[in-house]
Amino acid sequence: MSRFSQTGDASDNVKLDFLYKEIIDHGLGGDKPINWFTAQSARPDILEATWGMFKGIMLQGVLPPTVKQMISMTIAMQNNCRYCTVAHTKALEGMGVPTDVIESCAKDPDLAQVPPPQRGMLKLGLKAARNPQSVTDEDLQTLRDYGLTDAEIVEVVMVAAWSNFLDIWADVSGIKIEGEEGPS
Amino acid sequence: MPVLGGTCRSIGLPPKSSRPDILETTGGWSNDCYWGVVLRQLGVDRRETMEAVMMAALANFVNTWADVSSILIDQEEESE
Repeated sequence: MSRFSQTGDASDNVKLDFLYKEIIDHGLGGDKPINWFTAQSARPDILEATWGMFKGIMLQGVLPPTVKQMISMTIAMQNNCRYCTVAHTKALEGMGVPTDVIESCAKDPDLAQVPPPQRGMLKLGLKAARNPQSVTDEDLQTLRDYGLTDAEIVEVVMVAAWSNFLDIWADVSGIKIEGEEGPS
Repeated sequence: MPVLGGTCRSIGLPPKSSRPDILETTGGWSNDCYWGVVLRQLGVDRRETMEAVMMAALANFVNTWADVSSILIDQEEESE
């Protein structure tokens, strides 16, 4: 259980039911959405907004989904958010990312096993999430030198900022990692 | 007044055992000074509490983009 009510069956609420089905259709749950979403079930209006942001930033766009998940996973580690660290690690494993790359993201500050362009994106994401005022023009130029467009760099920063959002809600709501929930 | 992360004594709350079990905490926050109880006593319900948390998270999101993008304040941009 989280600190907020979590409705598993949304069939008596048209808006919630629609959102749940859409979230599940995008692979974020089984018979119900993952806990990050169900913990918002008391406020379908807010869930609609956060799902729209989640979809727009994490599931759409021009960056490879693996890169986005790597950025989110390293930021979850930085923020010490256990729920999100596990969720993004599982997502990376599900996408077939090699274990040594995932471990490098998780444990190696130099990100040695991560290819240079992706490493640059991760480092910018980590810096933006930790202290956005510390990001310099040179940091952005590093990514441009790798050939990234402004459209791609905007997406890196948005994924980083959104990852902080994900971590804040996961930690404050007190949601449990799927499979680790005790008896309700 | 430290509401989050403070102690019950600092804000005059009774110990958890003598309070109604409004929300169960699952970790991270102190059971001894649970923010949900504090807000509930101030008349804030869970739906409103959720909105407050979302506003905090969104403010963090907005600030991150504003700082990294280095956008100018709109009025200052017009005066340049």
